[in-house]
Amino acid sequence: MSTYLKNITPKALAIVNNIELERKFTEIVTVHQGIIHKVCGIYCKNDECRKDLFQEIVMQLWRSYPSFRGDSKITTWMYRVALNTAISSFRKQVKKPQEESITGSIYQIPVVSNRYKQEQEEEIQFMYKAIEHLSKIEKAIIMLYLEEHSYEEIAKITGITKTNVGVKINRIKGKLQKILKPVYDEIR
Amino acid sequence: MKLDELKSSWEAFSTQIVEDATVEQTHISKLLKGRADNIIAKIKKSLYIEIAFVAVTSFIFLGMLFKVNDPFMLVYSYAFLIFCIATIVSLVFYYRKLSLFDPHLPNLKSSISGIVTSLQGYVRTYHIINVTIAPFMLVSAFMYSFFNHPEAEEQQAEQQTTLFTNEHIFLLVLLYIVALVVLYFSSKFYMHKLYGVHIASLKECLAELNE
Repeated sequence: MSTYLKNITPKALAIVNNIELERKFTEIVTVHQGIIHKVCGIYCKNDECRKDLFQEIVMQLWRSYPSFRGDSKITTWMYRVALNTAISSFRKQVKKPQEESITGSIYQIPVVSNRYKQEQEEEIQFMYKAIEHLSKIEKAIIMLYLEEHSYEEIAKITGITKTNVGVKINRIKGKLQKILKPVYDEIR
Repeated sequence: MKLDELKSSWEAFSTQIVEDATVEQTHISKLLKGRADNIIAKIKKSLYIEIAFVAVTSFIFLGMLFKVNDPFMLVYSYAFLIFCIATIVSLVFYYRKLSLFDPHLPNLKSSISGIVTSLQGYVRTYHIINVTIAPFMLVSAFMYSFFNHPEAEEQQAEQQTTLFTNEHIFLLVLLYIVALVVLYFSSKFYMHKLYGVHIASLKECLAELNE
């Protein structure tokens, strides 16, 4: 065995290492792919865009993986790269919807019926449409908030202060309240 | 409405989206073989094409140095070659700088800031090159065709006139200024059309994070 190892050239060793790195990486991404799907879901309006963005995020994670030193949680790193890719992605710009269009059906919402009660399904759709009215940064913050991340984690991912996270969440809350209140009042 | 009320809807939404879109490990392996389509990759691709184009043009003018006997064309080729080499050096320098840039910095704010700086740097480099070289080339080409015209050569020989009269110099300066103004605005318009909206959108994000 030791003679065999001695005969391995540095190039062959690098290939073996790369295969091992790729295997480890795909394992991690497979386990935590939900993070990427959620980011794609919040930043894209149709399946084609979601597929493209998913691929782009996976590519960016792969490129960034060798420099990941484990000083933060793997999920935090994935959120950071995924959000960064989605925000800075060079895709065709889509105009933000008008505030009044909350009940319109201009989106291809990635929610399939028959799984939830009618009422909950409506709530999901309204929530999705309401989030569509937020800016790219606000979407990132609200997503992290709804994913139960602490203010500290949100601050770490976004690069703003903890206090600022609080201020922004309050502002988003106000915006969503303004958009959703009439709808919620109608439902209840 | 409380923001926390949305958490149950978000949970249902994310569960559903993840269940519907989950892919196998083999599919993720396949995705790694694809090409990155991010903004930095796009700029690098554009730079690569520009470097190749300027390099090919340089070789053409380098060849002309050995073929051409006309003094004007010799000066023209030398001048253009110097411009080309300066352009290649600056583009290669910028390409290397961009290759070292990791768009995934410790947080969103620094990443977006880095991307905006890179993008603006590229737009500026492209604009400077266009505004420096193109008017010079245009005016030089015009000069060559104007003075090397057979009739003009005859006239000069007959009248024993100097190569540049005051009117010629005025005309060339005017032509240079017009070319400079037209190319300045057309290059600015072109770059804005390509990257303007994206830069503005990223700046908006950055301003929001800096608030």
